[in-house]
Amino acid sequence: MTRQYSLCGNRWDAETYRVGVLREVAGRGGSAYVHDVLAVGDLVGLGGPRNNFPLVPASRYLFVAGGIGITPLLPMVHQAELLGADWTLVYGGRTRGSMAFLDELAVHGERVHVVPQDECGLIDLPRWLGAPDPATKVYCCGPGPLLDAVERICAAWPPFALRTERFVAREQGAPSRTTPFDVELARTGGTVTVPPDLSVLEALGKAGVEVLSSCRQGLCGTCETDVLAGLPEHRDSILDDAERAAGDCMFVCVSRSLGDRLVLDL
Amino acid sequence: MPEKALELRIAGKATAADGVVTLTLARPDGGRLPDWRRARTST
Ligand code: FES
Repeated sequence: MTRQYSLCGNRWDAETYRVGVLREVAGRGGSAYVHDVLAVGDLVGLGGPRNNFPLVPASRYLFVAGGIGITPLLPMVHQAELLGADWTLVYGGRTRGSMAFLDELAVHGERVHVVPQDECGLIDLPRWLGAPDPATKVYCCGPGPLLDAVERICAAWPPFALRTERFVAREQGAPSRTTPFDVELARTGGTVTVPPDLSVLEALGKAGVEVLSSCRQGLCGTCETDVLAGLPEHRDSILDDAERAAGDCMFVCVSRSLGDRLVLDL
Repeated sequence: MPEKALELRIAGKATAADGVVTLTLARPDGGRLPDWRRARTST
């Protein structure tokens, strides 16, 4: 069983990694195993850490996190702090109790704005993003609806202010299929049809299957999903040739299917 | 995962919120871990 988790530790700590794992209610897979079975002292196999969205230079950063989307942003927050940058984190979640890392974020005082939905409602995005600022870079990670809303508002911002300006996705030709394909969900059961005009991530989202995402351009690695059967058409800028050929994982924000059917570990 | 897996020991496990645990992972011999990899770009 292999699952993708975000590193959320200190990337300058050369001796340890830290990962944050959300218990997925529907999951009979990896997350329950991590929560219920794994204990200190156990040995686990880990692929090389990939999930890292580099922080591009800027004088100000605005981080917007939704729920477990805080995990890939934590190292960036840490880096921004080390760099002495001016940064702000707006962190939303269902309830305070469900929001990870509030303790360690508390040391940053006013820089961190905690927005539990049951106390304050949704993040007031126009307040944070309403006035485009050329000196600020915005990084967002969380559920699809939050990313959509942030993208909509950031459309008024200078190009590439959202997330990164140096990071440019590899040019991709048209997808090889022009017809829909099916994605079968091995863990939760069910099948989602992906039409040509939607990404796998979008089609999953419409069907109520949330996969954590951030860049939605095949750059950051957040949406990595294991492929159990079928042939993915890789359209990301992350995997190398050997990894592509292995075909056992894909980035569902951009990659598609060569055949009629893919089976994903979801 | 496509890359070869590292065998790591769980050095810490903590509850970070309702339904969220964090694991701290280290090499069994205490050695240095590979650097975090950056996603690639093409130019
Ligand atoms: S969300 Fe960044 S690679 Fe898919």
